[in-house]
Amino acid sequence: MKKAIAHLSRKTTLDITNINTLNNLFKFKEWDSLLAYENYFARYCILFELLNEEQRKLILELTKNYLYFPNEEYQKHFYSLLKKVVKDYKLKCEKIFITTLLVPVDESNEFREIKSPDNLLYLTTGAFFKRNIDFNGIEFVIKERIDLLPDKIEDNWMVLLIDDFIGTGETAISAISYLRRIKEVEKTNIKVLSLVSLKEGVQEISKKGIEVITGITLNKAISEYYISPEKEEKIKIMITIENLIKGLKPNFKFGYLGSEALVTLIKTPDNTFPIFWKDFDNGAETIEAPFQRD
Amino acid sequence: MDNKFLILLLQIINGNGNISPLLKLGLTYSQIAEYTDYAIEKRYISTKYKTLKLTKFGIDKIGKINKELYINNSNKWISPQEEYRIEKISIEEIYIPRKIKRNY
Repeated sequence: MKKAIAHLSRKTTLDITNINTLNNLFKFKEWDSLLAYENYFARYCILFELLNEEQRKLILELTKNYLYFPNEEYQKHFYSLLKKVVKDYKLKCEKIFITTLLVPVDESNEFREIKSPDNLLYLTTGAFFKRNIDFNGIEFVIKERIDLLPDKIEDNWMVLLIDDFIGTGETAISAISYLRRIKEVEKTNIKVLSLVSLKEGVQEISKKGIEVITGITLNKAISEYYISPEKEEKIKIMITIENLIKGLKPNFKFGYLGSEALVTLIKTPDNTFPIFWKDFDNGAETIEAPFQRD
Repeated sequence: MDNKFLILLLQIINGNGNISPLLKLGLTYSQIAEYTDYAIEKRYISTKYKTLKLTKFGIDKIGKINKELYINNSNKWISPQEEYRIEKISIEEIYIPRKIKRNY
């Protein structure tokens, strides 16, 4: 099936006012300066063709609150979170190990390919990467993986598990139990640090007794943003939008486990509403999602 | 800004607004947005009540471009469909269109 974006010279139902509305939205979001702007804009336009007025209105409203977090921002935000850690713990902590919260996928110790620990550490720590530094009296040690940490974490040490995004918290919780299974470490000496997090995920990790340090916390974009009866109306509209995606697994409706997220980092997490990341066929062509994952 | 596209954009705004003719000419969605921005900036179109409308300046601009492009009276408000224009061929040659519409 041909891709809609590769076939732009076709008939459309869009008019200049639609284009102008989307253009103003892109300017408001400052997405017109992005490298992939042309692609994103074309995909939004093509998606708009398939939507009715109320569906378009909802997508416009949600897009206003959409967080696009480019990888250029990673280091800046990571450093400001790190400063907070230093400020809070400089008297209690001598050494901080920074590692990723990625766990081996299977027994062969293979790590997930796309979000490799090296990549994530490089993007966040930048100049720190593979170098130990001293920061306000705290020694920082970077380890690519959890299994490379010392076997015993002393009382005045800390393990900082970092990721760019915390969704439901599942990954972090499994990383914490993996860490505690293979190393001797108290819960109080483990912190999770994430650039962007869903409120629900932070709560789940906190329930396990682990503190989460995060730059941006996101609420559910419909059910925690609108109030009744508008909330129920928006939910109904989103259901009709998601009906366009044939074969969407129930687990991914409104984002993974109903996360209702509106965020794209290096990759768009599946917690985001799938209309923003899942390609679909409309019978005639493949509609590419604005912020597709692959 | 290419006047060929600008005049078509202004004519479209004066008509039903549908952008298909611009896409058929090979403009991308973002280029159409760029032309729209330009037309708003030059006040050829107004954005009052979120609806785009041709202004007096826009009407004048269509007239000016028409003169520049030597478009005759009958083409003043309807741009030629550039995408169907073919290169001049010799009198001995036979032109067969790629697609023939059949009404039977």
